[in-house]
Amino acid sequence: MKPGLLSSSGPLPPLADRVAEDLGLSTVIDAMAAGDDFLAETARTVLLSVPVASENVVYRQDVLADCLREPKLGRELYELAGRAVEAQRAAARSVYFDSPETLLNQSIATLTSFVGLLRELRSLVDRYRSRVSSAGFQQFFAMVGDQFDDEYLASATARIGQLGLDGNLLVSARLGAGNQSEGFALRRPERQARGLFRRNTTPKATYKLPYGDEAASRALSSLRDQALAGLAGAADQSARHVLAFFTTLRTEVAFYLGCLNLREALIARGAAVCRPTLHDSAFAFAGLYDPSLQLRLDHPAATNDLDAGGKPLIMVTGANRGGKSTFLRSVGLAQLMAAAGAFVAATAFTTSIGTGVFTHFTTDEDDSLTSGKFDEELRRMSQIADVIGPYGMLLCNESFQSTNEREGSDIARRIIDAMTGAGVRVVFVTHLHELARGLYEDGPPAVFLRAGRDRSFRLHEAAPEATSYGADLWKRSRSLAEMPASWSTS
Amino acid sequence: MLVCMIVSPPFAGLFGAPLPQEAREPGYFADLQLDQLVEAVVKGRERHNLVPAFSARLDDAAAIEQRQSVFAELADEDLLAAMRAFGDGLARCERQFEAAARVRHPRQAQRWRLNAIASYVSVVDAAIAALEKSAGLRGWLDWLREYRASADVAAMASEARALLAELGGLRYTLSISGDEITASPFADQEDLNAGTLDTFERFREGEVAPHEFDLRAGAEMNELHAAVLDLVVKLFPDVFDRVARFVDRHPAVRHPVIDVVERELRFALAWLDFIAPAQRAGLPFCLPNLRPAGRLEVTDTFDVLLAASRAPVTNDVALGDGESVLVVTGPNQGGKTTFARTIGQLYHLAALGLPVPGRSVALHAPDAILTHFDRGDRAGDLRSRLEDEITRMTEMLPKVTNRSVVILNEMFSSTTFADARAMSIDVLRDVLDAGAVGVCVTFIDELSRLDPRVVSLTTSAGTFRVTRGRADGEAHALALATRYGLTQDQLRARIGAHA
Repeated sequence: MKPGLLSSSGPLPPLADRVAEDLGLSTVIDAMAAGDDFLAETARTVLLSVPVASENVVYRQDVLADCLREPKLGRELYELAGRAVEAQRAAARSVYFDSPETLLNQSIATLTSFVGLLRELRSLVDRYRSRVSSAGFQQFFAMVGDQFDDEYLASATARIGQLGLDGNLLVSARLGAGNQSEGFALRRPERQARGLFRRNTTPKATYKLPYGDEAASRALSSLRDQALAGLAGAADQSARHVLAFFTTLRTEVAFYLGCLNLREALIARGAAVCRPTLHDSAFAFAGLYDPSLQLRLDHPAATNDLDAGGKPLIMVTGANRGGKSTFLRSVGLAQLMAAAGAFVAATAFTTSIGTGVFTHFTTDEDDSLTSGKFDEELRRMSQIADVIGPYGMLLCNESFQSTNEREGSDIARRIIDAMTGAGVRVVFVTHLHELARGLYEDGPPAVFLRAGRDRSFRLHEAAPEATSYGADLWKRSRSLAEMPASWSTS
Repeated sequence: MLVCMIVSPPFAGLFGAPLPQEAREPGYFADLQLDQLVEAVVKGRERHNLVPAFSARLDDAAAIEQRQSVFAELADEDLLAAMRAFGDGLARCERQFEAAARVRHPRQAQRWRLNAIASYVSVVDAAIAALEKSAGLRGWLDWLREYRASADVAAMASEARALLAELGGLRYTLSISGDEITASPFADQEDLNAGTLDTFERFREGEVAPHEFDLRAGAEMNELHAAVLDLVVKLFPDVFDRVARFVDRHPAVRHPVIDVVERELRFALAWLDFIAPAQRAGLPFCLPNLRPAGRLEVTDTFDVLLAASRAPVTNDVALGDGESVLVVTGPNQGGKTTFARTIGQLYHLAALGLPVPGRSVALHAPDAILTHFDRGDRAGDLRSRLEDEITRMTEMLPKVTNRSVVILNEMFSSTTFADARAMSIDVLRDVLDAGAVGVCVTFIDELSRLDPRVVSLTTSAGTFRVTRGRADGEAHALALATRYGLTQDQLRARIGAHA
């Protein structure tokens, strides 16, 4: 039984840490967490997981809309599930040694608390039932009403009552591989309402421990432990199944609380968020910005607009410090968040839910021509090829500039052709002019964006230029006069 | 040994001759890294003493082909799995006999013997069932059927199973109260364990790991178990008496033919398990075609030891009419030595009857594999190193025949270029004149032009592939892309695999 508010969530892909670091995800996560470590952990896991199918994304978007309309609903569910986790921890804390008997008692305490919380959950659901409209909340509420009715809660309470045993044990057994007794199962003793005749015909054999034999007493207590282990294990397993239900509920709600927190933080800075539109092949946005940058700024961050249509490749060239990397991060973060069912940092965002976002960023600013670095870049690209599938998104930031331009362009071109040919969407920031020019002349369908030197940090559609602006930046940093904007050769 | 004395059809094992239990390590083992290879192959199977079986080369084509036919039949995955189960089952049977010898309570010892006999029968039955579903290993199937059908084995099998089922079906309750344990036949009281799980079943989403108690009891627990067993014997005395009589009648069960086949299968499985990861990674293996001396034709071979850790380079190589020696030149770190070693290993592995690395392999069964590798790591000054080399070389050359394989790696690198060239030419001439197959890795280009019987091979640093003639000047970038699996074709295939 699952709450089902997130529907399914995929596993973390192998390169998730890298993607998080390259995209500056931690600032976003901090805003989602608002100081709660569990919210942070959940947000990170959900955002970086292998994306779910697009119908599941819409399902989450609808649940999020309910949470936005009823902000207290999410917090109440989160708090209730949190108390279940705390009840389990409190019971575990009171146990000092590991024996079947102590585990059994601990499980009885935990299960008793859980049944009380299930009762509370049902009354919470009754209060909110008419106020939600998403499929997610409706099925969750229906499930709670159906599974935790009075009859069930009473039977669970009765069962917990039977687990408190007195000193005598009746246990069934069979012979194991070495003729030792095993397969113990605790039995409820039959009432002694039988006639004398019946009792006398039941075969019996009795062993009485030798008086004062300590070793034999220890052995008997071991046998009791073995006999009880099965019941203690069953009670413990039951408690953990119920706990898993509450833990899952807490995790699922935590993700939506995180989304609300992030939205508040961005709106407080005057920025917009939107619910993304899903479309099989389109890729378009308006007012897209980098939320991670915005959260660190007091003024509005630069935004970009684009309609790439069905073109699989976006090539970004132009000035250093012109907003290229920020643009790349804004695309990556928006795609991650859209695929998770969250809001995105834009006024409008249309995309297809692919198979995940992968990043290939230069590891540092030092572009020295060492074969070791080039090797490392190739190795990282190969790791991406190990996991990326068709409909994935690959973000490259100045990849393969650690070798000479011809070789770097040659390698990059092969990779871009193969990736786009296999259905991967590629956004590639580069100073490799031979690469950009070649793709412009005869490459896969592509949009070419260029960063200007006008300090607007906005990109515009334009053919690649022959000159990079490294010299420009160099001169600027030397406090020389700024070059005129018409310096370029295009 | 009552059971062993039945009349069987003549059957001497799968390979026709038992695998050796002892063998000297061949002189070329270290040079060709066959010592490391064999160590890797038998890792975790040390108690089966398989190293001699992997050391002793066959030089008779018919004997090699007999083994190859067994490997060909083991290509049937179901059959292979069944033969693995055969070995596992016999090991389990052995452990049960050991347990019987270890325990003191007679009823417990009898039970372990009964388990062991039943395991043995099950192993035989499972092998027959698997062989009947397969087309392979008919001779062994015939033997097993006859063995299993013999009156003694058949009676033993059915009785063991019946007794085991009877013991397994005994159900009783123990009532523990104070310092008393009372055993009674089971009377169907309600199961609290199952009832509890059932109540909370609706919450189950996948398994949770069961709580592991540390319930290791001391030796005193054995005494209590024995006491409880005595109670159970009192409840059901008859079946325990029959078990005792049965195991007394069957003190030993294993037939010697079973031992021979078990060893052969352990040998085969050790190799097949070792190459399995490489096969799964798409690397080809094949059973070599055995040819007259001097013929060599190989496609897509590779270093099988290297393949265990990463994707190796594959190479094609052939000796045409009138060709007998491969001279390999090229840049350092280009894969020359690996190539020479790979060819040497190929001859050894082929002569064991094994599937070898390569898409197709044709070669002969050599009378000798002779290697000369620079042992630069050996202590001593250059002069004594050179003396040592010359001694080894002069001892080796007279052994070369037209059925031999000679692998020479960077000979005489510790002397001057002129001297090395002159001496190397002499060595190569001897090998050529003897008519042996040779692989010679060298930094001396002239050797590749020494004689029409010499084939010149070169390596390129980027790809590590060995090809005829000079390197083809392929761009470094493409070579690198290939190495990382990033060419267009490679990438398409890799991405497509995640669709």
